Amino acid sequence: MTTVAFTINGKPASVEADAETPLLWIVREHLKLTGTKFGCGAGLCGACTVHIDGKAVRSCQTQLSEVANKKVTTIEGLSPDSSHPLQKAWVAMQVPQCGYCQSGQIMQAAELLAKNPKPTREQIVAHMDGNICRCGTYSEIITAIQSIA
Amino acid sequence: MLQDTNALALSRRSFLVSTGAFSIAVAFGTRLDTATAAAPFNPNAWVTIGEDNIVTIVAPMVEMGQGVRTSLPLILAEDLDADWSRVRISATPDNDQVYGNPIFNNQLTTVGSFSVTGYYEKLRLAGAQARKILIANAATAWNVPASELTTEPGMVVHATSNRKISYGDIAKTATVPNPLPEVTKADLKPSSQFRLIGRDAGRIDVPSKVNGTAQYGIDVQLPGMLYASVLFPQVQDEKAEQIDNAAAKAVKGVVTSCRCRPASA
Repeated sequence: MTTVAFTINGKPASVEADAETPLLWIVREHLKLTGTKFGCGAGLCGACTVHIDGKAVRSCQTQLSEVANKKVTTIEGLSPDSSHPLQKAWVAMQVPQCGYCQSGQIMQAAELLAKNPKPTREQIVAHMDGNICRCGTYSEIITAIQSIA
Repeated sequence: MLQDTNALALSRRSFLVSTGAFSIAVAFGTRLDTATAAAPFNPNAWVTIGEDNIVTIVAPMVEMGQGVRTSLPLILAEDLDADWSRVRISATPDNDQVYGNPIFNNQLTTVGSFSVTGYYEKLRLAGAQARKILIANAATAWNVPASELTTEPGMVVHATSNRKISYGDIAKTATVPNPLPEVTKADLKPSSQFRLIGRDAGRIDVPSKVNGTAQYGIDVQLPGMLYASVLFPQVQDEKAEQIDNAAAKAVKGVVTSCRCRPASA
């Protein structure tokens, strides 16, 4: 067991757990932030995507020890009131169906727009390539991102 | 913005009313035994009307992304002539005789694209019945024939005397007739007068799916809750001859392991 201090959604956090515990379970079980989803547990689907210091990562493949003194942002911290342009576009375009993958989709897209506010369709498709949606909302996702890009 | 609520329109008694070729399960509100009801008012088992004009409608199916927790209440709201911006959606009470799907043997089972087709008439009749009760209460209060009254979203209107009353104001003093009024297909709104059905309405579940607040099965956490995981045989119909769970029990946090009966987990 180890104690790791980091920032979660702008607030200080200190978690005691095994150093190799996946960040996904730290976020969901210890911090009770359940917006980040378990999908495959193997880094293949993107449902668990969060930001570490602004970079989109798969939280199921990130160990607790890797986030020491880092800034972790989950879907709950993307904006205080669902006002991030992506969140508004997602509602306007009615993107989600079941919605299970959408926290990860939005966090992945937010990384893109933060570094490239005007991505082309090809850049959007390339950046979103690793996030799987079983409902098949890909065209809505691309349209929503394009609507604010 | 529409919201899901956990407010339940629970009923103590329910019975069947014959509605021509169709039977609809309806239930008394919770305040039947009081001479004058106080809001919130339950004209039947599906609808709760508050003094604040908030109309809460039971959505009888589970949301899996097809929008049924929006479309089903919307179908009822059409014939209730509810103001959709003031509609809230509540969880389904555990009563399949009242809330079950007629096309699916009255089961509360969300399956097979049966939700809208199965509930369409039942919910429209339930909305029409609640509207009929509101009109009857307004007719009594104004001492005019119910036939002179019409509705517009959230309001009962008496055009002759240029009077209007909101559903919320009716709810303050409304009573539920016993028995509940019969409703038939003849009571349903002609499709040419639809305000909601066939128009695009934002799904009520979408806002919660962009900020992490939507709750899925995996998100439910209860005190002392344990997690179960099933280890399947590699070949169908194989059965374990013996189970050595020593290594499993050595894992930190593991409480026990056991043999599963078929179809249980």
